[in-house]
Amino acid sequence: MGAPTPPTVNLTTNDTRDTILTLVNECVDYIADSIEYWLKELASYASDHASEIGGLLGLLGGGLIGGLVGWALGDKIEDKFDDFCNGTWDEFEKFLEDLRTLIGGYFGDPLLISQIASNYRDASRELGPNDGETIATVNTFLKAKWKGEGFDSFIVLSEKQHKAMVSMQTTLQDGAQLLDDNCTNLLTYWVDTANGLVQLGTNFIQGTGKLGDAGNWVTLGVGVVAETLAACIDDLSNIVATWANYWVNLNVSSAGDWDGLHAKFQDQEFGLPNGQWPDQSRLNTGINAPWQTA
Amino acid sequence: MVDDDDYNFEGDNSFSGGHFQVQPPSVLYPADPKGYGEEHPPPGGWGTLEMAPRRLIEAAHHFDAEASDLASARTLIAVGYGKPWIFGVADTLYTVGGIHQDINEVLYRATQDGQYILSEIANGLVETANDTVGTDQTAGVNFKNLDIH
Repeated sequence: MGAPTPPTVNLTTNDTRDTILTLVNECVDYIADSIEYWLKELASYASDHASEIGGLLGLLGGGLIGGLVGWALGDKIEDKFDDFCNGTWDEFEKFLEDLRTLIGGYFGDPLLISQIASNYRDASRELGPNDGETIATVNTFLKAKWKGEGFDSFIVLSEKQHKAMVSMQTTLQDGAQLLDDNCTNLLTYWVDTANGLVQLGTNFIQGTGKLGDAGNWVTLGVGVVAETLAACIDDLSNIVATWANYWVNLNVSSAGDWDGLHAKFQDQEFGLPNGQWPDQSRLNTGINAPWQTA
Repeated sequence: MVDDDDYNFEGDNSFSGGHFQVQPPSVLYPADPKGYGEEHPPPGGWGTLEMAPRRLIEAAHHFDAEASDLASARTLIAVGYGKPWIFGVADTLYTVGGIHQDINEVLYRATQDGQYILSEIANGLVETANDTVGTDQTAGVNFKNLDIH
């Protein structure tokens, strides 16, 4: 079996959740294939050279008899290698399965987030001027021809409607911006994770390349195994660190931004808290009082 | 404007896609009497834009248009309704998702209240115009559901 080819990691905000999940799945497959490849190379290297190296070690230690003992030792070393390979595989297999199972759950939904953001922008546009007119300009238009106690009350009520409309637009736009930020962060996180996963697989493959080096014969490739595992542990900590960074970003930085928008939203003088829309019962007492033409 | 008690939460709530799908509630607002808010122009119509009653009618049309804009905005806002989980489990205890959900619900309900109030304002303006030209056919005050006092 040849060395596996890594998947191309190239995500954008237009990618669907399924596309991203498929890519992450491919990355996990790639690691699985890489580990399998690495272990097979390792095993075949071990069985090719175990007896030979064992014998060599034996000869060095005690002549012909030692050499014979070395032959036997060589077989045992091969068994130990098999055990090591099986153990390593079991451990990684469990890690990969956990990763695959968890991915859907801790993923979030970037497509839906970006859909909601785009809907907020459309909604804000819907609430914009009609034929260039807003409630404020309509009020001015009426003021030119109307006056009286009832009309003045109407204007008070009407201005509150205008402010509520504008504060909805502002909140919708700010919310869309925050959702876009969240979506970008989520994708960046997954691109980093996917790249980390590819690197992990690649390190296993690179490890096999070093097995043939003459310098590694004496240690039976143990140095290469140690080096490969150390690099992989490094890759794993990078993946974990990426996750931690994302968590902090979402739970501290982004949560702060959202909290700020929420506070601003609650503070709107006419802007929707509790009553959701200006409560005219508290604002307006005389709308049915007389209206007069100006 | 409307208490929670007035909300009908018996929508088609269901569990799918791994999440509980919450349907936005509908609201029952006070109904208008028959014929309320209907235009009754005098013979010859509402006249030119320079005339006071015509301005009320034009303004009423604008408020109606704004009311229907709120209805369009509502269907767009509804897509984000009741989904605290959109940021995934990294959003510990749904902090960010919860705040977004609160804001979304308030915006959603604002479109309901706003649409109702703006269309009632439009009706009141039409009734005032009818009154001014002497063609009013409804009893009582012009702004029926807006003057609580």
